[in-house]
Amino acid sequence: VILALRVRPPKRSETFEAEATPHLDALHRTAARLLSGRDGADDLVQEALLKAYRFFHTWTPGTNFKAWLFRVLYTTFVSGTRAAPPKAVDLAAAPEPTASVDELLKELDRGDAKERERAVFEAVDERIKRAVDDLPEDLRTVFVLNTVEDLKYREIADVLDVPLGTVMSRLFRARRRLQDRLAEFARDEGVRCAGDAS
Amino acid sequence: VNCSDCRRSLHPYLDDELEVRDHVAILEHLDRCGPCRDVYGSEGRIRSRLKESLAKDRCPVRVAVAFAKSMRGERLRESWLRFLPAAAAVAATLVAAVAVRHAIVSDRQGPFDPWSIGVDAPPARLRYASRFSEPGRCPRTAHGPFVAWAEARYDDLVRDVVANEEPLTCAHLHAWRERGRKMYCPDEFFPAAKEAVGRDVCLPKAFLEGGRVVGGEILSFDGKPVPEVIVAFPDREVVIYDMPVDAVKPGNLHEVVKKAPSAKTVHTCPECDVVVVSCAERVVVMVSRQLRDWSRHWIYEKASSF
Repeated sequence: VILALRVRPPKRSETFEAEATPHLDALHRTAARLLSGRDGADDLVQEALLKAYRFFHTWTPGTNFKAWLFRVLYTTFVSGTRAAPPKAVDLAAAPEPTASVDELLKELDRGDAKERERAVFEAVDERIKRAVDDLPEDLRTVFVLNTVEDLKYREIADVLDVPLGTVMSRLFRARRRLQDRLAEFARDEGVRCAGDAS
Repeated sequence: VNCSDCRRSLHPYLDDELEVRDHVAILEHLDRCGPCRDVYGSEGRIRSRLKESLAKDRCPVRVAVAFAKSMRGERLRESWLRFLPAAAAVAATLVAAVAVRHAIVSDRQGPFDPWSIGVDAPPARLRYASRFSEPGRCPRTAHGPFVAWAEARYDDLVRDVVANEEPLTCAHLHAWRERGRKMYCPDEFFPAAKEAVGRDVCLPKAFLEGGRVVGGEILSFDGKPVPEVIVAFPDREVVIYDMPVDAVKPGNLHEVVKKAPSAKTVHTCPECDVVVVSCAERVVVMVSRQLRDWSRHWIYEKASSF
């Protein structure tokens, strides 16, 4: 009995803690973006972690644990927001496009690349966050998972349980809207500066 | 691939979602096309800027700590559930053995019994019950240098150093020596360690006898280097950081774990302000200067499982 007690396999909670701890930053900042910067990211992350621990046995070792955690976070978020709808524009206000991916790509590449770059680089961190938070929830989620958390299209599709094409189209629309929003901010700032000067 | 194809592949390329063949074709085109290269470069910089801005946020310590606490609770629960049948058998045996021992040699109690002070660690208690029951063997030496270090450190550190939020210095060690503690001053015994970390370090005698001391540093959560003292033994290293536990975030815990490839567990205990990372090669202990009275219970528990 003593031998069995000494040579024990790692406990389930130990394994889970070791796997999850490196992703706490990513979970929390994604939760903050899912909530559009509203309060509640702490609670959402804690609830998601508890749920993930409860369903830890469903994760397949060797697969992307981070993507799996995001799936749990997202489902927790969705089940929580059914009672309290998010502040941002609902998907109904931004219907899925009928255009093909090729057309969307072409659309995204419009305008002057240098101007787009300048708008982004002139924006302070808070403004960038606000621009992302202003995106509709579905676009925002895809954008954050792709651009900030480096998930592949296929992994995002699994997290959100949507087709691959939907991920791509949402991503392109998110980028376009973000560009527009940052350009608006840049213009507003320019107007305000001119007004201040006068 | 012409310029139009190249522009259409901009985002899938940057997302690393193209087939290898297409990826190479785009690379070749970018090699010879300046305008396309500019567009790709611009978009790449935009993405980096957005990511840099959005990925700055860190998980608050309170959330990390709450998570660690809940996992610790789960561990205790799991331990009890897992060992329930064995525990019943062992408990019955122990009760009988202790009763017999007390009846025969009631005055042969060991000099130190950590379990008599309310330790809440059922698995460790079970695992090491046999060692504690060995007559005439001090649990301190039975557990090796780390427990001796923890014991010496916590007894007085709580009163003299932690309460006043002072850095640990030679003066404390001298004071401890006067009280008969087996701690030695780095000025006398660890000049190399002091030189390596740029300040005084305190180490128990056991380290002096068995270990090789080297200095190093890790980066704290805000990117500042924090000195570390590494004592290398043949079987493992013990690393000590004098770092407040509220400066420990998942980011730098990860940094610590990266330095020890076989690290399996990271234990954080918010109540006692101690973080312990344990693995095959090393034991990392980060100690806050705001320890509470019962913190040593917890560190005994961790120490006994190294």
